[in-house]
Amino acid sequence: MNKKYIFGGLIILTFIALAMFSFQDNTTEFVTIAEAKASNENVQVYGHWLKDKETNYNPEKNEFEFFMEDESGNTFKVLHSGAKPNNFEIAAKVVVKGHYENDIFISNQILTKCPSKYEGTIEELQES
Amino acid sequence: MLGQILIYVAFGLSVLSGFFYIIAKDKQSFLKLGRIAYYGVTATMLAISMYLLSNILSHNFQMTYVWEYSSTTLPLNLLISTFYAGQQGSFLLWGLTLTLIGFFLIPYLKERNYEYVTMGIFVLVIAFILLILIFKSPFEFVWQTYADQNVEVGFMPKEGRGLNPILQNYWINIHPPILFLGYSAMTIPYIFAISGLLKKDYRKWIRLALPWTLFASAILGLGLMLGGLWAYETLGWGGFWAWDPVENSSLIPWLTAVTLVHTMYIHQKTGGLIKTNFVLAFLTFLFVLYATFLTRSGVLGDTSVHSFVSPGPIIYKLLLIFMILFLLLAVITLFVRLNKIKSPEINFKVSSKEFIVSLGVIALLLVTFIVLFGTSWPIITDIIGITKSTVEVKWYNQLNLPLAVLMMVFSSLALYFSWNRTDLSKIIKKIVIGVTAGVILTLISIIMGVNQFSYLILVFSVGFSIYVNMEFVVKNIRKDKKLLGGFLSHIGLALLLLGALASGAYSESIQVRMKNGQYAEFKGYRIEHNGKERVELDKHDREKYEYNIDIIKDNDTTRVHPVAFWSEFNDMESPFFEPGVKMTPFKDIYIAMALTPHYDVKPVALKKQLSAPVSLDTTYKMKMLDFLMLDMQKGPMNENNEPKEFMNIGVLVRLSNDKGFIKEDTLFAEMNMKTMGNEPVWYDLDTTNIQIGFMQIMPDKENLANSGALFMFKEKGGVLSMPEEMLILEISDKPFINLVWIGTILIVGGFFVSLFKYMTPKQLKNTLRTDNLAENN
Repeated sequence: MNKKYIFGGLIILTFIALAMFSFQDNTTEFVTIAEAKASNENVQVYGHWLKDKETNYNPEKNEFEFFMEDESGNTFKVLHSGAKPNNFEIAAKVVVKGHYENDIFISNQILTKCPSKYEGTIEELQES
Repeated sequence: MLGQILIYVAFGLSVLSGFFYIIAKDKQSFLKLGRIAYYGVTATMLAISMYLLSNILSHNFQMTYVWEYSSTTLPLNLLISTFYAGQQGSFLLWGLTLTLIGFFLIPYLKERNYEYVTMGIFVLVIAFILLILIFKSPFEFVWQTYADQNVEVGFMPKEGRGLNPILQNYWINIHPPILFLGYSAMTIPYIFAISGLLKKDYRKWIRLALPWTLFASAILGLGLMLGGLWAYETLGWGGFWAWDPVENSSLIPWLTAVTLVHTMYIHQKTGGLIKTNFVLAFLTFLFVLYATFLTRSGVLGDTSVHSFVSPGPIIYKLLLIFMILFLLLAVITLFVRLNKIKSPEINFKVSSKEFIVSLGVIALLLVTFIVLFGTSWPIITDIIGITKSTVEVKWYNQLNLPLAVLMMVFSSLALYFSWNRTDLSKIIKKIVIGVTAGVILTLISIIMGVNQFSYLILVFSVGFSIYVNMEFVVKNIRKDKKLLGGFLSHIGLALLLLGALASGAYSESIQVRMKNGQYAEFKGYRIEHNGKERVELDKHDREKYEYNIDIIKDNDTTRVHPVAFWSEFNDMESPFFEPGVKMTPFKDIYIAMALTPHYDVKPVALKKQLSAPVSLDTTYKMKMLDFLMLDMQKGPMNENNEPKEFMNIGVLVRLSNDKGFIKEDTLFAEMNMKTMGNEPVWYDLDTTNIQIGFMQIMPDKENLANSGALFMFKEKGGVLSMPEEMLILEISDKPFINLVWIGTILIVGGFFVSLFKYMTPKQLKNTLRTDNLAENN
């Protein structure tokens, strides 16, 4: 067989293999709160902030705590290492990344989603 | 109405133009008709855009799109940018840039006798975008959008909702138009390739499409770079690239376009890689469509920091159909002609330049594949029905690092190789200095503290690549300027990677809290908070503050101004932030800000039936039961029939401690009806020295009955400590971040240099002559 194909093919195969092997450790699954509680892996959870429950930022430790509920109505407490994210109050949905440990979800990343603010609502139309 | 009609007219004309262009074989009159119809499309598209712009500028909030994205408070430049702040306008901008590109493409094609079919496919793309605009028009009226909710016909909202404060920046005038121009230009290789296949021309199209592919790569590259700068300088992401799906989806077509430039170049020199060129030309455009699908269809909704609006099932389906149709067109035409494409037997020898460049191409394709696969993974999981997941940023970094090394090594080595065959023994002598340069740079970085093996390999190849390409710049600057662009881009790549490594892997950061007048220490810098100033006082929809943060080292003080921007856009509920950056040649000091109020004694906010410990003595608990609004029930007017300035309100609480229930009592306060703040009647808590004050009603906008109350505490005889604002600063350094900008400028600049070299009149004439020769043969 031609040397050039061996060479090129080797590069391709090596990298595809590398990509596949490292893939598992580098993906984070979306799970429900119930699933997050049952697992100790790094996961991400999609839900919304429970405004009525205690929400607190601790500046000494730089930790932000709040309660979150998912679609099936399960809730848990989230402890996020970092400040309260921008737009947290107006976010319709939040995604937290982290793991569940001792009755608390320890989060290292929060994404806030603000769809309702980016498309007008009829109430706003009539107010204006 | 007018806008809608214009869109239909443009659509009709584009279909007509496409029709004539596709059936025009050997018929000059049809070509002419196609062209005339195209000019009609151009004129109508300009009219549509002008019409939208005039509605935006005249604040015609009857139009849903204008109402949704603009307002009377925006300055002119931002007002103009609301043209493309939403979906519909983005599609229109895409269509507009496409149409304008076509306008300049026609004379180019006409001169080379390549207009037939080529323009037909091009207009087809425009027609599809117009079709989207028909279904999702920017000219819809509010009473049409909210038809099910009985909005009166002719209703004119007084004010628009305004532009997201995050976007209120000059960058929005620059970045999106350039990005869309780049996207549009990526269509050109595709139409040349289809046209080539249909006309059984398997070679000439490559030469004709090359300058346009260079143009597309240059412009989209510029767009990507500006996006990175925007994210770093204003959005406060802390970096220039986050492997976010939105960023990735515009990177993918750029990567294939850049690969295509290389394979086109190999083809020019060897006559080979014909099929590869076809496939890459197709992929480039298909990836633009895929990027649009990813970012505009809402499929990646949960996985990106960018916000997406779900555009509704029609747009989702249209984009999907759009993508599949153009994929099928490419696959079918290629399949039909596959056997007729006769590549010359180009057996690349291992010792040839074309082989080494091909290896670089393979590395580029692998990068493309990795980014494509990682970005698409959440969709793939949906399709194959496993738990949805996303790929971590470090996966991209891990895999792309060795590929970056390969790219740099191959692109540099290739310069010493000759086309067809090279004497390998001579190469070794030639690369000695380059290798030495790499080793020196590696040693320097070891001294500076780099100790990870993979990073050192990267640094070595950066040093090697920079030296080799510099050597060739110097050699060729007089003789042969044609390749200068390539050398510059390769130097740029090396610098970019070095800058990315240094500023990414060797950035240190601390998080500090500061009140006005306080300071922090960071790596020999003293960082002081010296107050804030309110800016843009003339604008009533916002409170915007620039903070004075002084970065002091030795006797040198630089003041940076991170910004907190409270806007009515989100009812002033939370501010938007911009970072403060001190830029120096070798590193930046980057200050990202957040705010929190600071209280010496923590206040307690309670809704009905909720309880909390008392702040100064947590053995006591208080539970809020209800409001007592006796004064309010007497009506808002006083005896003289004037609005009351003050009203007495009360809140019923239940007090307890660890021994059990103490009592239920009412805490009174006088509420100022203008400020809604309370003057509390301080209430003694049991036998302690603590007093409770009812400070404020905390209204719940959605359900007033669910409102809460805010309580503060002080010691008897003591003063109430008022809240102070506390800054939370994340201070980091970004070593050698400037290499990232210099590198990207060189990469993009290199494309422009190649483009202008290619587009000089002499070159163009040469292409023409050889084209005619080829035809005569």
